Amino acid sequence: MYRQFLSLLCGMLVAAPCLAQDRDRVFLVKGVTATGKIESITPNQVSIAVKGVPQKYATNEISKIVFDDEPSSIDNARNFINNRQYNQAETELSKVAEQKDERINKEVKYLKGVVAAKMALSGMGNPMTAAGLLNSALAANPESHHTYQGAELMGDLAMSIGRSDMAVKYYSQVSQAPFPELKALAAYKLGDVALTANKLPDARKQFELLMSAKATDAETLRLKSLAEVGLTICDAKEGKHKEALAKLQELVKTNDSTDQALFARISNAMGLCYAALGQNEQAALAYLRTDLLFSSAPDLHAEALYQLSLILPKVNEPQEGVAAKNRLKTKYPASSWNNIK
Amino acid sequence: MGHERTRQVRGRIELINKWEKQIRPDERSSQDVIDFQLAASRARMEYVQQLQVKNSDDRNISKLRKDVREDLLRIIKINGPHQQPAREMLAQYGLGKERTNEIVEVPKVKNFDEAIKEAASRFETLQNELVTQSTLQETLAKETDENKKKEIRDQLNGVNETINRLQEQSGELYATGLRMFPQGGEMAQLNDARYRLAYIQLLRGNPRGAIAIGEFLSQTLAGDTTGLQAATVALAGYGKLISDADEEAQGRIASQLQPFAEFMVATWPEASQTQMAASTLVQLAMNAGDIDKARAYIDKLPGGSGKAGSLKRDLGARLAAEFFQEKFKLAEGAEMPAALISKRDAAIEVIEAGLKGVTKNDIDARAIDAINSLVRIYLSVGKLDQAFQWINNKELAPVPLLRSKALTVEQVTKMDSYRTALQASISMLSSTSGDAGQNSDAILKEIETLVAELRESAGSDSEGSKRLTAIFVSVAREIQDMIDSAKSPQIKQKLADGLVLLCKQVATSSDEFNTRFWAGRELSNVAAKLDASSSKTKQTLVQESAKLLQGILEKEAEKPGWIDVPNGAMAVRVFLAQSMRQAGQFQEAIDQLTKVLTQKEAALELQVAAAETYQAWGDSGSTEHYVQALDGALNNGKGGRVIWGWRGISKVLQTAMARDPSLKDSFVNARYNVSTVLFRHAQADAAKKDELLGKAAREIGSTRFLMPDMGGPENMKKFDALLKNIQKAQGKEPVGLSAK
Repeated sequence: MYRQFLSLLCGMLVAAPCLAQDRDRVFLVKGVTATGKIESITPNQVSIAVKGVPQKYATNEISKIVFDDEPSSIDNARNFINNRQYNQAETELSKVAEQKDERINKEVKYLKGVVAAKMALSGMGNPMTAAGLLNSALAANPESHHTYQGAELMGDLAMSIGRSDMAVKYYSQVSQAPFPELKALAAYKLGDVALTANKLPDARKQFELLMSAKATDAETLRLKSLAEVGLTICDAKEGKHKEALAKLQELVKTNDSTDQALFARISNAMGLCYAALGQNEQAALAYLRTDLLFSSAPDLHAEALYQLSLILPKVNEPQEGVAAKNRLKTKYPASSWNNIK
Repeated sequence: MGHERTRQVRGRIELINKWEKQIRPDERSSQDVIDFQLAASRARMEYVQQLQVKNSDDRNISKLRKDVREDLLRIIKINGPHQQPAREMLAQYGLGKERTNEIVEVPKVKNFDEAIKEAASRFETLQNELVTQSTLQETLAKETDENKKKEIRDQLNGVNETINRLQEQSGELYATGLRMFPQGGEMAQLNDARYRLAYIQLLRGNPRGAIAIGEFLSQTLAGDTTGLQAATVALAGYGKLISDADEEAQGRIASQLQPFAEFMVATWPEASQTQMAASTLVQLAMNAGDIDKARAYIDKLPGGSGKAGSLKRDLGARLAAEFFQEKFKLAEGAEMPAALISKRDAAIEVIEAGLKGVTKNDIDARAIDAINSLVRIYLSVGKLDQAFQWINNKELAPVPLLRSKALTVEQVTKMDSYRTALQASISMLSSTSGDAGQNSDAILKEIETLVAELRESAGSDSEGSKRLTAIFVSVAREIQDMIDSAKSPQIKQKLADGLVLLCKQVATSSDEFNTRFWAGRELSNVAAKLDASSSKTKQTLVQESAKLLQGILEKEAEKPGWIDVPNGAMAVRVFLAQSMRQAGQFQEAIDQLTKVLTQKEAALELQVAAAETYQAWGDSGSTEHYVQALDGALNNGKGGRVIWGWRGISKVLQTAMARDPSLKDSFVNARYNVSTVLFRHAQADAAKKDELLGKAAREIGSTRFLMPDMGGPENMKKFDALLKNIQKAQGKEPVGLSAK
């Protein structure tokens, strides 16, 4: 009896590595989580054997992958990242020791890169260091299911330090994805890069490409709204300030104001138009709206603070102007808005 | 006995506690429950006082006081008649010691819900602290005891500190929460947090922040209650911004406010907050001078709205003020332009509309302004019946309301009310119709009372005194106009009595030389304009004028240098002599003039006044004085005369004219009077008639020789007429100056 029990235990120990990978989980954006053994991962597709039957999922359908035997801190970190609590995410990740399963080590490395990137984009870290970390994580795992999101983040980091050439490179990688919503995202981001560089025809081309996309999912519709704002900014930069303002006011009425990035962009664009028309009071109000209501998009918030530092003295609030400048320096020390002369 | 009472009170408190537990949450805002809680708070505080007497360390005291404070703060926030007594109780029972002063640091929040929960609890406490702050401020304003004042000030400092901290913390937490709002979260919660953040921006003295959020919310939530609340915060932000800005910036902000206020009026036409926006628009339009727009905005207000009436009254008063200002600038005798007439008529129409349906309870300082403006316009256009209708209105007439102390208004409004009533009473004197004409003595009495009330309301400060003098001067001018145009001698006399009363008041209302001199001179000038048909009135005026002017000279004698204007005393004597001459006191008039002329012989004005006095003396029947009018009087000890007479004056002027051509008119006048005096003397003295008439004619010839144009066509006509009269008296053909 005792002998039989011992042999069963040995058998279990031998079988343990196999059993562990059988409990990988692929969480889907829509639908039931698939649990089994992940057979392959590419930037476009993940294959998992569920009870021995292979199932394939496009990476754009996956919300997250939790590897078997993964320390719980990793998933905690993912949740903290989603809630924009990057410090807590960093703490959780620091608790994770080296794992036998290399997939987990790569995931941790990637998540650390993401946290560093998000923190840098929020003004809480150095974008160059973050770019180094994330790039190294992506290079170590070129077939990662995070490839496109990683490239997008790399593009964002490049934008935050004013390297539009690098940003174009990364966003172009995103545009290679076989998924329409990622193509739409890339078009928007590339349009934005061109807009920032005042290459208005290029920007228009990208935004119009996005506007012509047939997809009607929520994310693409949101990107279309952002592209509409982008096109309106092109109009404004071409001197059609009044028409642009009318369009922006219309967008305020027809869009969901819980989308902070969209509304920050609209408000900043309004500020741009009002300032160009010499209506400094209205311009100050528009940028204040971004500052007070829509400050979760760091680059747009930094832009609003910078503009406020210029415009508030023009409405007899010089001290408030200095305060805005100080907040920009303190909150977003690495932002390129600090370096504008 | 004390124990027994304490037991009774404790029993009551237990009963109250039992009843309180039975109150359902939905009943807490009902007036019955609120009244019960007020009574409960009183009972608890009575119990506290008894416990304090027994043992001031009793632990129940602090808890009971805290409960009372919280109950009172809660019910103060509910609108109703209980608010004032609750505030008074809060002040009476003390506020500082049991205040929640345990504000923790801002916690680290993990998500939107946590942030909003923390922010909301601070927001709630902030509301309570704001009530406490205003209650303490009210108490401080009423308190006279210095020690208690200090105690209240200390409490207030503590409250202010707490408020600042709560504003800062709740603002920070709401802002953090907004950044954490989850995708698909509850929109109502998000907008409520945004609205509260806007409100906090306003409290923290950041009106632009309040406007930025308030405008955004009101536009995205157009028609919604939260949208309206946010719009109200934005409007208040604009108000603060405008009040803090300089004039140039005010215009810029106002033009920005206009479309927003228009949006509010269009989006929430029925809401009471909208009236504030409409009122702002009316003010903006009025400031821009766009009356039609102002009226259009008023018309947008809901029917039967009290605010519409009040805005109409404001607009009307403003139009009336502009009308009077522009009228004042018109040249004397100039015709009123059509635009000014329509402004006046619009003022009448708008004020009348604004006063429709107004009761005693609606009357405030601005309504009083409107009524006064309306009365003054009616008086200015001679619509006395309409003016009297308002002045005698049993419910709304301003002066009776002020007399009954039913209304407290600022000094300006008070003085304006008495002034308007005074003006109306004086107008009644000139009215020949109805009661007004018959009760002139009663009206004079009323004038006296109003003048006394005006003086009292002016107080003793220099501003009030200046205002008082300005009022008396303007009313005196109006009476002067009425005297000029009055036809009946009785009315002229009554108006003169009114004028005397007023000028005396002017003189006694001020210690300034100029003011007193104005009063004396005014009476003398009015008297001088009256003809022989108003001799009684003239006598009244000249006697009072002489008294006032004499009083000035006496004051100068007592206090040398009081007359602080160069040649002031001389001017007084000229007018005094004028009054005395008009009163037939010729010798006294000459005496006054001589006093100056013995020291300052070359004073032309006085020499003219002396010659005129002798001339008038001669006209009065003492023909011997014609000689003095011509050749002067009183030896000056240097071979000449102190008073030169018309001949002496003309000689001096003939030489002086070469240096100063502006003296030409005075010279011609002197020459004219030489001939006039000779002519009048000739008419009065049959024995010397021919000789004097011949001299008179020759003097005209000499004048023509010295000045061929006789000083211009007007003078030429005068001389021609005089010469014709002389020629007629001589029995010659009256050919005048045409004879060679």
